[in-house]
Amino acid sequence: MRATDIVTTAIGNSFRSRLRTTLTVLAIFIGAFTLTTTNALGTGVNEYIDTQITSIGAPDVMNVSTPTQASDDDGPAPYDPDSGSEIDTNAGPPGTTVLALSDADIDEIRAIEGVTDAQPLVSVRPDFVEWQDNGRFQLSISPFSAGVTLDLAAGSGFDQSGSGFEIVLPTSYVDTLGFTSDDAAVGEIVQIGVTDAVGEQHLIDATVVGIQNPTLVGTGASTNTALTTALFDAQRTGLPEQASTDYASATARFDADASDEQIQAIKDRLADAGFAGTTVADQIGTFQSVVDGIILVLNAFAVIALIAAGFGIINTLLMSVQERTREIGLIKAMGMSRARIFALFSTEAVFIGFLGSAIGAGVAIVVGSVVSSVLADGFLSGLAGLQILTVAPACIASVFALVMGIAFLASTLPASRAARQSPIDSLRYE
Amino acid sequence: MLTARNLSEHYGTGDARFDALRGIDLDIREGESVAIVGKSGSGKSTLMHIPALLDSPSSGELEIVGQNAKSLKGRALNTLRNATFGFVFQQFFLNSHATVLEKVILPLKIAGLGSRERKAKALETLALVELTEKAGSKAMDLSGGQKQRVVIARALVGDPRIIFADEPTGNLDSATGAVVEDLLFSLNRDRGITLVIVTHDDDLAARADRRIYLKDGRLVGEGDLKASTAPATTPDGASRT
Repeated sequence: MRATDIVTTAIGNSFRSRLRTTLTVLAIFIGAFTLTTTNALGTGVNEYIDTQITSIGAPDVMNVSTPTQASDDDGPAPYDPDSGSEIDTNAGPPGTTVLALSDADIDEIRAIEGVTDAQPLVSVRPDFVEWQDNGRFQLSISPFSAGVTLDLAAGSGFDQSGSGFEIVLPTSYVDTLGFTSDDAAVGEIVQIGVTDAVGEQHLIDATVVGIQNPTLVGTGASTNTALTTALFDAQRTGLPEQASTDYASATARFDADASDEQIQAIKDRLADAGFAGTTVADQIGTFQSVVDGIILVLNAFAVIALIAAGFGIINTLLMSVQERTREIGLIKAMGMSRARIFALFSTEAVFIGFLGSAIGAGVAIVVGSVVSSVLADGFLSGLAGLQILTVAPACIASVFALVMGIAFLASTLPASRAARQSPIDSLRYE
Repeated sequence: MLTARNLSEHYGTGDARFDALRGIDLDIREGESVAIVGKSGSGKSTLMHIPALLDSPSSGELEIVGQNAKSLKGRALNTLRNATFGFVFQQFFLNSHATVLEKVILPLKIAGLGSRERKAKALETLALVELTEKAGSKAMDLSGGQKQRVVIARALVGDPRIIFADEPTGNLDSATGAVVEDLLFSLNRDRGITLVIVTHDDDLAARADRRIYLKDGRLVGEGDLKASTAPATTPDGASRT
């Protein structure tokens, strides 16, 4: 029997007992649908995170800090009067502290091979932002400002060579501050208030050069170096000299074309010098690890459903083999080989698997696009560009391969039973 | 064509042991028509299953179309079954979903013929059994005689050298039975196809060149219609006209 005849005969056979085939296909459909959906969820979220990393950019920047020594094994580290004081940071779990960086440390980072420049990352805490007496609103400056490529909804971003005070506001500030639209806000002058160490408030004017789409890493405003420095200087007026030069972290710049290995080498050299470097991709990559972990667990459940469906296939085929005992005997008496009888039944199973995964993936694509667009306009509208369920072709292909593989494995028992059958047994079968 | 020496077949062991055949010698020449006659339980079906290679004997030697049956395995066995044998078994009329044409095509499909070629050949064979107009019908729309003619067409489509028929007229009234009989014997006469028929019907057996009478797994007589009108030993209950 030719391969094409085996396939068409197997497909024909699978439709002979329609109800039974339908129920088995349904079981596979549930597994395939779940698997496609969970994969789509993973792809959707990870793609969004990837877009975020790309839009944030900063491929040539890493955040450098001095972690306090781990003391799990040796007890607390001895006091060193020359080291900086500990500073609370927002990074890491609550209570995480880093040792403050001094100007000398910054120089040391600058001297490390591969680092082209290092700047202290100053923490600027403005009180408010205001435009044309429309009311004062709280403002936080994004700690990621340096070197970050902004995903702008309007405006052109910072003028790199300019020395003027420039600010990029998140979209949420547009209505609040009283602008009519994103574009109308660009070019306007806003006032930023900042209080210094002795309680005196300073007002600084800044030009809005862009409106930024919301991102995963917070909805803070971004400022150019000139404005940051001005705000920082105003804020530390009246502080003793020592305190004013303690920095929580620094931004180190390196070659934008650096490969992953080169970046790792820079991190290693920083670690040798007692610093810890993390890139933006590292920080966001942590999200992806968590997402991947969750998707893995969900996928495991879907695979369990598929394995259960596999037993359904075994059952269905065993019944078919039983029902067709005489027919198998007939085709054997007519000279059909064992291998082809095996192929006939396993192809039937693989076809049932194909049907289940085709329907499952098809429904998942439809449901995915509907749910994604509904959620993107509603519940998830705050995360522009997030398609929560993104069905990737590679993912569909792997679902098909997995389901058909399981179906084939499930078919081996009934198919080999059919192949072993002797023609005379089927003649005697009543 | 077919030589069997001291064929024995038994099923089960101990008290449950049942001897279907006890030391049978059998020779069938090419182009001959042979009827194996006996009551149910006489072993007549088994005596057909073994030469048809559907069953293997417990002991004894069997040679078919010049080949030792024991050495036939795998591909050679499948090719022999497909190209040399044709089966007219009532039990083998199955799959009520398939059309008459599909049923007749099946052996050619197994042989691996192309779809155009096998369809042409199947239609040709259906014409021979006068069922061309029923090619698209399903089994349930056929009469008993028509069904049996479909089975004969299926046995015939692969140009077999030998046709095994098990009670070919068993379920038919005498008029339709006669049509089927005529068909089988005309194939034997016109095409030289060797015919082995298992039956308990003496009228059918009488039309064969030779009759082999079986009782309790033993040969109890042989009759050659052309040589004599009655066998040397008449088996019980086999009254002949």
